[in-house]
Amino acid sequence: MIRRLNISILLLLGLWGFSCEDLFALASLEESENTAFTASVHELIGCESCHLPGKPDKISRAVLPQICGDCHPKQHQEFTESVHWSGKGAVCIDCHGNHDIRLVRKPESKAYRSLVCGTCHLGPKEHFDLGPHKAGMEKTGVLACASCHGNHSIQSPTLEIVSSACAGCHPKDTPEFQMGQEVGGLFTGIRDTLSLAAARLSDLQDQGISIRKEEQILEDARGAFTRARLVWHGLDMVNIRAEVSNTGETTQSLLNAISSVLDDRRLRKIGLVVVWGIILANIILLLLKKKNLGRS
Amino acid sequence: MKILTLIIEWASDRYPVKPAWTRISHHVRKPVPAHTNFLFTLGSLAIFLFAIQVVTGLLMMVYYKPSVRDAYASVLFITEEVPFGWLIRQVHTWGANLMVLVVLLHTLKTFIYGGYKRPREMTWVLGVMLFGIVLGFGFTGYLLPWDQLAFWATTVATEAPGSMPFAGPFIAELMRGGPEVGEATLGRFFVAHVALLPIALLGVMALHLLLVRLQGTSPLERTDVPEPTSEEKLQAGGKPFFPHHMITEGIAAYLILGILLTLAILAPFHLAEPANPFETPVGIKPEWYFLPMFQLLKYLPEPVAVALPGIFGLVLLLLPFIDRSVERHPKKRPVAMALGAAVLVITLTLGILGKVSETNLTLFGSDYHFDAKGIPHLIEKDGGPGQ
Repeated sequence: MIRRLNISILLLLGLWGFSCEDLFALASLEESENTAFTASVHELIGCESCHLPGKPDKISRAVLPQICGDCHPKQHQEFTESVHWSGKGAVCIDCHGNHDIRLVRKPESKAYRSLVCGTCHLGPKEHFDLGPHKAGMEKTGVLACASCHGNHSIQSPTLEIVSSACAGCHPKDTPEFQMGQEVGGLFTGIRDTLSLAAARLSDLQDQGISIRKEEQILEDARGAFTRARLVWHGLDMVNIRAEVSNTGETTQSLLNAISSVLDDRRLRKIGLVVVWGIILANIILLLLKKKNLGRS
Repeated sequence: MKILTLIIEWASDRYPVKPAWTRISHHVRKPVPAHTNFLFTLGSLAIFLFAIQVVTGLLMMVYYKPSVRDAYASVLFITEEVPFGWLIRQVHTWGANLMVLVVLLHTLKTFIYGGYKRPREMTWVLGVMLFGIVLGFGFTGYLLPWDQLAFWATTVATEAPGSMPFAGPFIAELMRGGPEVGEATLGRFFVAHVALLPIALLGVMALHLLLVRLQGTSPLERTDVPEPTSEEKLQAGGKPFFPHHMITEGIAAYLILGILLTLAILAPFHLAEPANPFETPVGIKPEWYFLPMFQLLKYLPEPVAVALPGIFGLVLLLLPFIDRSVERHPKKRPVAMALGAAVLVITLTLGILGKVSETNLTLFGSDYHFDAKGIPHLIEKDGGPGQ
């Protein structure tokens, strides 16, 4: 029965203008994908627009963005400058789907309101789902992750985007914007201190000093900073302040450890100078003794 | 000296030590020849460094755990947690390097001054044995921290004897205690390092010193003329060993102590990552004193390259019986000096080639990659080794 229905659909599509190759390709798709494609936004352009004649049926992830970019040049241009491309991360189908692709404004679209980001970015999603942004964004229908992070041109998140990201939805005189600025300020302070500590550690390593324990503390501080940044997605100020405080303490302990290493090194050098003083004094005494022996 | 005299008097009231003390005193006060200089303090420096190694080694043994599971962590503990543990470990590591250097220079000095000739053949033989024991200390001690460098350098070094015919595989198995470097190897090396080699060293060193004191420092005259008496030495400008030469030795000991502490504080040795038998690091090399042998393995078939240092060691050991010429003065032994210089240059060249092999260096403004055999290849601007 289903097979007869499939043949009927293919015949209808043939009458609609699909080529024989398209029809054979469709016939080879799984039943569910077949249905999804015919319901997709690409049903009108046919299979050969993507599965180019003479090329392998299976499109590699490396080639795919260029194929999509043939029809979507602006998005392609933005994507090739993004962290998703340079970091060999997601490509078009990971967010938009492939045969089942729909218009992004439709709830059936995989990329609807950019909620798809949580498929890979589980940590931020976990906190975002607990926070007030989720409900507010659902209510107003604005994009979720993409509102702050952008979409095709996405870059590694930096604290510099905070101001513009908040201002996108919240006017500058609102408490929400002020709260974003406060959190941004806290994180910027921690980030700068961490960078300073990492630079000092690098200097110590260049001087041939063992920094094994200090490197471990730096890793702990970076881990705490990452956790704090995840918690930020939940906008729970109590949690954020706690994580920032935790990161700050770890960073401070790192700076203390570096100071201790430097103090220790200074002390060792002073000790060495003292030892050389004693050694030289003894050598002088021995030389005097030798001179006296020579006279006698 | 007053305290020492009091002790001897106290002892001689109770025990028959006076005759022995008189003999010791006589031998210790025997004059050294006039040509004796700072180079003649190297033997004493080796003993001084050995004493430092014993003290620092004993202190580290309090915390060191000779097992694959705990060795690395215990060395880290010594370095990072034990008060002055870092200094003790660094002094021990640098002390080992300086000891090899000092013993090497002492051997070289004895060769140049002809001190190995009749009637001091056995002093030389014992000295060469001491040199071998010191190298054994370096070899076994290198594995004990159980880091990547230690593990892989020992793996390479214990594989080499296996290529020798007949006894090779047995020797390799004996060293490792199994087919691979592991728990049994660490145990064997530890026992050798802290018990067998120290006992051997103390025994051979005692004999060596006894002969040195009994026969005195070698003169520069021919071996077929009678050696100068103590009076003749004094008349020729020689000085008593005690206290004159011992003061020079004291000065040298203070200097080497200062150098040792400076190196330990300003140029510390860092531990590599913990030993991982599944990950071979790039460019593994042994300690500097084994580099010539290591490099030789790259040019010659393995059995030949392994046998050559052994043959060289045997020739060195039997040198007094091979070189039977009567001259001691270096200027009158041109062939021996030329051969010695050739061996030294070849050894140094092999060592330098071993050091630079598998590294990139900038020479005269150009970057070079030195391959495994130490041959430089100009690095093209695009980064790859050129032809």
